[in-house]
Amino acid sequence: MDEVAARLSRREFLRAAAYATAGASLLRLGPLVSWAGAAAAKKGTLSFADIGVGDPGGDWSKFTNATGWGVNLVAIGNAPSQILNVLIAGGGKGVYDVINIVGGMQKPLVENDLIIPIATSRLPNWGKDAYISEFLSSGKPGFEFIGYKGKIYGVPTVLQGDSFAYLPEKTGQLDSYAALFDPKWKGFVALEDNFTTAGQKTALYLKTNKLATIKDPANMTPGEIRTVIDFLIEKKKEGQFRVIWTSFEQAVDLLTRREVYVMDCWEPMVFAARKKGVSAVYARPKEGYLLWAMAAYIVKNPQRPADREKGAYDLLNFMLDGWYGAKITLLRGYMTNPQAVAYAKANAGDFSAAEAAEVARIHDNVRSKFRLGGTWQNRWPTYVEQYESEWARFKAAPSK
Amino acid sequence: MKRRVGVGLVAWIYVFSILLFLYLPLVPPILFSLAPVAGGNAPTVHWYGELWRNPVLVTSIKTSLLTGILTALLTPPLGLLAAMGVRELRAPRAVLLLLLMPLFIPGVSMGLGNAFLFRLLNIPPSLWTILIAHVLWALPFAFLIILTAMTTFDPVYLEAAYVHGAGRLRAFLDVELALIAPGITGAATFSFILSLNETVRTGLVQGPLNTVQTYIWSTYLQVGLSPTIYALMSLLILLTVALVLVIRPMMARRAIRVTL
Repeated sequence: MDEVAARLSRREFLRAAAYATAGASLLRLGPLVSWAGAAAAKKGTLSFADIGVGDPGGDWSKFTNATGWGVNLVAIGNAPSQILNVLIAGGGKGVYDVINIVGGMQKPLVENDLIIPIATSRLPNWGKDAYISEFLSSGKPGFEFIGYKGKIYGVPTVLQGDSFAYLPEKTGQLDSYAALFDPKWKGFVALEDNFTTAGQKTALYLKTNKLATIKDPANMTPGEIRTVIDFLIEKKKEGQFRVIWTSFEQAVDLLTRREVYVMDCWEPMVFAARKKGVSAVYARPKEGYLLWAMAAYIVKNPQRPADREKGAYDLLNFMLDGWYGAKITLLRGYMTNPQAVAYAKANAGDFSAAEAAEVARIHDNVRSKFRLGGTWQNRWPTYVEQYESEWARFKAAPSK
Repeated sequence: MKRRVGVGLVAWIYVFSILLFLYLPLVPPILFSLAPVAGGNAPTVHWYGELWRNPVLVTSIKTSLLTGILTALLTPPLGLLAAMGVRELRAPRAVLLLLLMPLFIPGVSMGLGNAFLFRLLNIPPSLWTILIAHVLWALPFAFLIILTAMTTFDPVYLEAAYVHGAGRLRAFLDVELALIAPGITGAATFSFILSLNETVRTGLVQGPLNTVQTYIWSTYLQVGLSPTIYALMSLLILLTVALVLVIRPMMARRAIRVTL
């Protein structure tokens, strides 16, 4: 080693010093990271984790101009376990100010000390949202999407009722989940890979048609879950299902390629398929809909300064505002808040007459679903482990 | 002679078929990225311009490029040290296997392992946690590439350098490093590509940032892809192909020059 050092020339030493300096400069690149979404925000940037639905095309200028806060949107997945992992293991608790996901996650989020209750008095738009009092207020089943043990934790950002899609050119008109299990469409049916959607819709079908004894499709007992999964496995063995889909894009492809005629899916997939020239229809089933809402939660971070917390409240209030609501409705096809319809109609500079009409049409459509009813999706049922293991049993079962 | 021509033709058809099989999945995103704008029928590059107007996408691109460049700079020296250590210590195969083991560990397990470790060490998620996860992912590849380059190096050259008065460091820098440089550049190139295309591990340690891949994956799952996203995917494909097609042959030429 001494020999090596002795043979180091001055030139080598200088070169090594230059490399070391360059390395040290690289390590100082940290502040560059703060570029993320900073835009021209005066107060700083709020970190907003979202599943993709809450992004108004990257344009937060109306919020930034009004409050001085920029928004750094981080796309995250929507699976319950994934969200918990990102917040607990992935350090999201110290990073994110607001997370906007499909609601109904309060139980694990509160019990793991990951979110804080919402002071609705700090949200001027809260009282203007008639959908909250109509569908999500305390005592109604929808409350489970934003509240827990009497307290409010989530701000509803989108509302929707799900059923299934079909191709009328192949099937004629359909109005029951029975179509998903009808041998006439054997091999041309797809289900979503999700026990709280496909599993719960099946439970709703079995209960409503008195094919099984299920007290509450939204929160089944282990025995009831087993009954539902046994039924699905029987259908799978008969070759009823062509595929169990896992992503938006895959579901749209199944429809546009006419690979399936009947599909358990989300309504925006039907809009996407129609844009590609396929005359798909989203069913209005006689059994009702699988109702759900997205909720924006404030992530618990005791180190968050008061002005930053106010910024988070301002962001939630903005998400209950007319412009944001109309924009999200147009982009994603979901109902948002009542101000969206009026705003789109009154602000021709932001929304054309055709766009305003589309916002109103989507809101009327979704509102009628909520009035028809059905079952509320349950993202965290009492026997969640049982749901997961039974769903795994369904997926592992052989197909014909 | 005719028989040899026939065999050659069959071999070419076989090679072409394999190439077609390998590269056909890359074609649809490129075709979809040329989708006409509303009201038009003609293919257009409109969406390539559109993607620069989405700040979330632009930030993701910057994060991906910066992480990729830093990974390409940091990983090869570590791979080189590991390869030199293995050679010097004449490490048994078990050590070699241990160094390559992370290649076979599922991305989710590795990502969660990283995330838990950062949490235990109280390291908040940031560009640096993404970088560490990417370096750990790329390191076994870099190690393998550099070790392969080193096996082609004849230690006789080092002996010659010592005979001419060079110390170990000078001999390494002027003789060995010059000859294995193509391997190191290759390791850097692959580290950059691996970083650019990593998704699962990144998603668990990304904190306040999105990379291009985590953004695309999230969009794919929840809201569907758009021509703008296809344009971005096409750019990534073209960048990756360009890196492999242009930089590697350049390095090979340099290797030949150095050897001569």
